[in-house]
Amino acid sequence: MYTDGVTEAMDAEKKLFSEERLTVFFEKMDCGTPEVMVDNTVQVVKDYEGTEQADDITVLALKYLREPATAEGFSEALTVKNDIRAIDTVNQVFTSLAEKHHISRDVCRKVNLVFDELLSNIITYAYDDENEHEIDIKIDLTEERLTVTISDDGVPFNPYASAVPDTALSIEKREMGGLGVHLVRSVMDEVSYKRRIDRNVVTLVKLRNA
Amino acid sequence: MEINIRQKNDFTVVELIGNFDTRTAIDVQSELTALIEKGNKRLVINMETVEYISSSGLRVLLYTAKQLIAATGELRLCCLNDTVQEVFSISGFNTILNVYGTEAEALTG
Repeated sequence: MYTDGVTEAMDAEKKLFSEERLTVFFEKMDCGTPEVMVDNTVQVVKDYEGTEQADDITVLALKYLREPATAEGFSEALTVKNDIRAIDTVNQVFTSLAEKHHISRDVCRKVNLVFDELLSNIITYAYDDENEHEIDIKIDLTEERLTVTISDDGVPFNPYASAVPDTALSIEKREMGGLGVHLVRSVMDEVSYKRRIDRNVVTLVKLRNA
Repeated sequence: MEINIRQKNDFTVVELIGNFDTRTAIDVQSELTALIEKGNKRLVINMETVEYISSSGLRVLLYTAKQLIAATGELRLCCLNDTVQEVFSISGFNTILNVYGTEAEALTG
């Protein structure tokens, strides 16, 4: 990136340094650090211009640092309708990704369980109309962690706000309320909920070597 | 979900093949209720090929166990994989249901 003082710098005969000359210079230059590229560019323009500098000479070079290599990572997004059959679709997609990327069988089953609990909650309770809605799912895998994000445009609902069930009761007294979310919270390493504008966003993390 | 039923010793063995979740819980529930209504009061549910169980599946097991207690029958479970066992312990189901390692143990225990 540069200001027009670079390309419009003139030599003693009032000829412009010009974009063409700059391009040729870049093509010939050894690309070292950004500092070296900037210093070399400023120097060549100053040399061209001679003693009299007509305008500012400003040059900025950026080095693009790529994302750290994630040989076994991936990012996958899918959108499903608020139909109970969507759970099977999501779980099939996830299971084949898990096999492909060597996610352990145990983690795969737990994520399948989480999808079943959370998607069935959304599909059954989140909508106060009969319309078709879209549920967005994002799956991110790095070497360290698996992150799943589920977002829906249903009524505001924080699944983690519900009470933890008493799992020590006798069979006669046991009721089922709250068990699904309790399972989700227990099998995952991190869970969070956000209401983002008009969507519920649930994020779940499973550490791969925990 | 495939449900295989066979008689062995004094028990009716119910073999579940597939995941025991929201989608399949209704089928399992109606199959088990039908068995109990026909007078099968001693059930062994073999979960060897059940990859995971969600709260919908747990609900069916709890309901069935309660039905069988009321009918002076018995529910036994066997062959849970590690993940299903973990779900049983998180939910406390390992203390309210009878779980066996193998089908043979469930039939003789």
